[in-house]
Amino acid sequence: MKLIQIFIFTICCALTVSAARPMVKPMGYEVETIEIPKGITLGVGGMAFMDRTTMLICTREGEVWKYNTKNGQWQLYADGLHESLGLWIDHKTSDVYVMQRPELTRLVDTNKDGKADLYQSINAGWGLTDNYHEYTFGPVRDSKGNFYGTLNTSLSWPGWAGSDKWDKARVHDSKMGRAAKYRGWSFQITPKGEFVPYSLGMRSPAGIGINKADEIFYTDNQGDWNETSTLHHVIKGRFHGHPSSYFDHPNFVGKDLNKISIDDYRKLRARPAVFIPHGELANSPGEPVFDTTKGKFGPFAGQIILGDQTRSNLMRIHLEKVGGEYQGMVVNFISPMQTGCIRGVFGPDGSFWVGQTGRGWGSVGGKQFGLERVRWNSTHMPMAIHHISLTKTGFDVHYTLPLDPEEGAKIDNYSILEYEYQYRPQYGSPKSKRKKMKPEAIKLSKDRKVAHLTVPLAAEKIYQFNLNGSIRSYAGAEIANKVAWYTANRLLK
Amino acid sequence: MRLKLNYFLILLTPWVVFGGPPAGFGAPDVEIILGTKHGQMRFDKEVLAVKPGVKVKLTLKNTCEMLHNWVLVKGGIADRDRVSGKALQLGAQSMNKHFVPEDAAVVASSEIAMPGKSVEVYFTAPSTEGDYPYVCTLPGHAFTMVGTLAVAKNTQAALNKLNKSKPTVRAQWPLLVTDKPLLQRAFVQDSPARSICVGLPGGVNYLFDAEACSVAYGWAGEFLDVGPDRKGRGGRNCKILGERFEVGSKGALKIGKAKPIFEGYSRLGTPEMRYRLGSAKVSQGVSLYTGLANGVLKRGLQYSFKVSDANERVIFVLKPEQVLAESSAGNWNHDKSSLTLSPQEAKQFIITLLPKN
Repeated sequence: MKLIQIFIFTICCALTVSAARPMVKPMGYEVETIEIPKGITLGVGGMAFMDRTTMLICTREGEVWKYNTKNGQWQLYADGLHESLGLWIDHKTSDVYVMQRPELTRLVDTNKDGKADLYQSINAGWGLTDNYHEYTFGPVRDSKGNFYGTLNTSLSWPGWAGSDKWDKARVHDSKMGRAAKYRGWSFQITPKGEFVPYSLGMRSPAGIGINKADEIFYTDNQGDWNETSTLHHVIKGRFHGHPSSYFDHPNFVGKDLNKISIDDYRKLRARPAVFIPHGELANSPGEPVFDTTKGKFGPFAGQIILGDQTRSNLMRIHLEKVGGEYQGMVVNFISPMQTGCIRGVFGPDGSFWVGQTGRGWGSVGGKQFGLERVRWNSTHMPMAIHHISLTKTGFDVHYTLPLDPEEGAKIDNYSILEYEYQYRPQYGSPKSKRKKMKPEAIKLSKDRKVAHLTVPLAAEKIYQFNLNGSIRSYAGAEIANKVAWYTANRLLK
Repeated sequence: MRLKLNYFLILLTPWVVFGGPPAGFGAPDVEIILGTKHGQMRFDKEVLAVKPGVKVKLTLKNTCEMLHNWVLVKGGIADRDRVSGKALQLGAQSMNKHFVPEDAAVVASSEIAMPGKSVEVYFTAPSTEGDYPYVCTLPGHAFTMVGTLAVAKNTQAALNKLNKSKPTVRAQWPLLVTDKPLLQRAFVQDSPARSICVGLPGGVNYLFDAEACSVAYGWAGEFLDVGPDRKGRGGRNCKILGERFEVGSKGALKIGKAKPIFEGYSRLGTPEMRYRLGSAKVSQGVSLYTGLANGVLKRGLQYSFKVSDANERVIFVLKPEQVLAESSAGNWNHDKSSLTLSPQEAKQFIITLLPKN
């Protein structure tokens, strides 16, 4: 995740917030902090519901806890795992699949005493050294029974790793490399238990999510070869940007990866679906969770709720397909929570559970670990940017509530910054080719929930929208988060 | 009549404690209460001190589920280990003799303390100043259930000296084994990446390599410090908290050229490692084994193998220079570097390993 970032950008960590949390929160949403009993260290790595009231939580400390959401009871289900950072429950058999650094494991309670006693190794098809950055993330499972996970690159540069034993496959003097097989890849594990290398080019893919259509997304952290935090659509064979993983690509065996130019890697790369601005929204994003509550969690059904470890906030992402590929909007949602938000799961009642860890990188909330629950009270419709979508002539800004007709249509109330990032082996990228703009025209929809903005467009740009506070709902409600970003990889034809 | 009754009691329950000191002992000058650490195979006090020649009443309070005793020895660690080794050879006599062998070095000894019970020992401290080791000589206990009784005119100074010389284990986040085995997968220094550490009650631990599917080594003492992995960002190697011993490891069982595939483990009772070799399934339980290697008491490991569906011979290989190995079945080659078993023999067999040094 974010070791390196802290070295370079020592800003923005370890800010302890003493004011009432969260400071930013749309109307109608409440955050409840779950008390963790003394003696439990809950560096959350994964969460899933076993039944309506039983949530399983696996932790960095290698334990799996059963938490009863009704009576607040905690019970240890499994322990001794090697940094378990994700779990998935088979509801037909009640078997629990947990991702450890070295393998995907099925936990079975054979004697039905409420505790796992059989730890079955399902697959361990990837390489692993004792390099601390070689995290294994996942699993998600598709409707056909395939599991998916992601493999972190190795921290290879001896200057940071403290040893040259992991110094393999660094490309153009990057910091991360590949000290063992398939580092930087996503993988599939078939129902038969076979390992299939799936896509490559990942750097620190700390969060993986799947939607109802079996489409897989993952988040990556800003770093070498990654301009800022990003959300990517995973497709088999796709190259996401970090070149060290080409070392294990059959077409590149024996090739000198340093002889391939940055520009050629750029051409090979599938651009992230969404760039998430570093330092403003996210520094180390976690698991993208699709809101499948059909409105129980508020007006954002179908969007992605995404937490961030360092900034301890929740974001919303809205995706749309343009030119056959996903791209879309990201906006802050709730911030800050008590500590780093790395995992999330929707409960049967439509509330969103946030699994948290601080883990020594420093997080805005300040705590070392925790669990929080976000609920929508279903009576207060928040005033918010619902989403932004691309049009042939600009953007449509969709609101949750009808706008005040005058302020919502005022050009001066919208500032737009067009910019781009530089794909490069160095750590992160500044915003470049910045261009401040105003919409050329604004028209409101009949129901006044959509502002049609006329904006000159260019492909492969990011558009940052700054809304003036005077834009309010027809009833005078203020917009909760007034800054949104749209990644325009492609334009409509 | 009264005598006869006592006689019967002794016959029936030889370890029953009759309160009070032996005839002629008089009132003790010093009373010591020595406890046991539940499930950890340790005395609760590992240093004691008395003045030369004083009359001592020592009460051993056993709070464990296991049997324990207390034997005070004259001399050094070698004498202590010799006595402990002899205790293992008492055979059928063990219980009657309370695991206390005939040896000139034995200064004082208790009877066996049953679980939850206490026993008393009355003895006169040696008149010669010095450090006297004490130990529980029940099988397997003599490695961790040890301590030192200082006989000295200045008992406080002697205690301070002993406390200072005790090696301090600086563990940030120690995992403590009590009455159940502990299992922890982790990066451990100088060990394979896919390591599984198992701590067994009784102070013996081993590391199983889930890639090679074999026990890599064992260690005696406390289990594991996971602090380097749990503190802060973690990711550093965990540390074994004891003395490593080699088990002659040369990989998994072999059946033809089949590559071992790790299949996991069962944690019902003592952990049982499982792997696949072609069509055969292997299960390996590991437990503490103690015995004498060249007359010296050693702690080693015992493997309980079960191999099902093997369709050809099964071979166990090891480095004979590291260990003394015995097996319940099969044929060893001339230098004891490999054991060959028929599929029938391999269905269930035991291998015991004692480190040579």
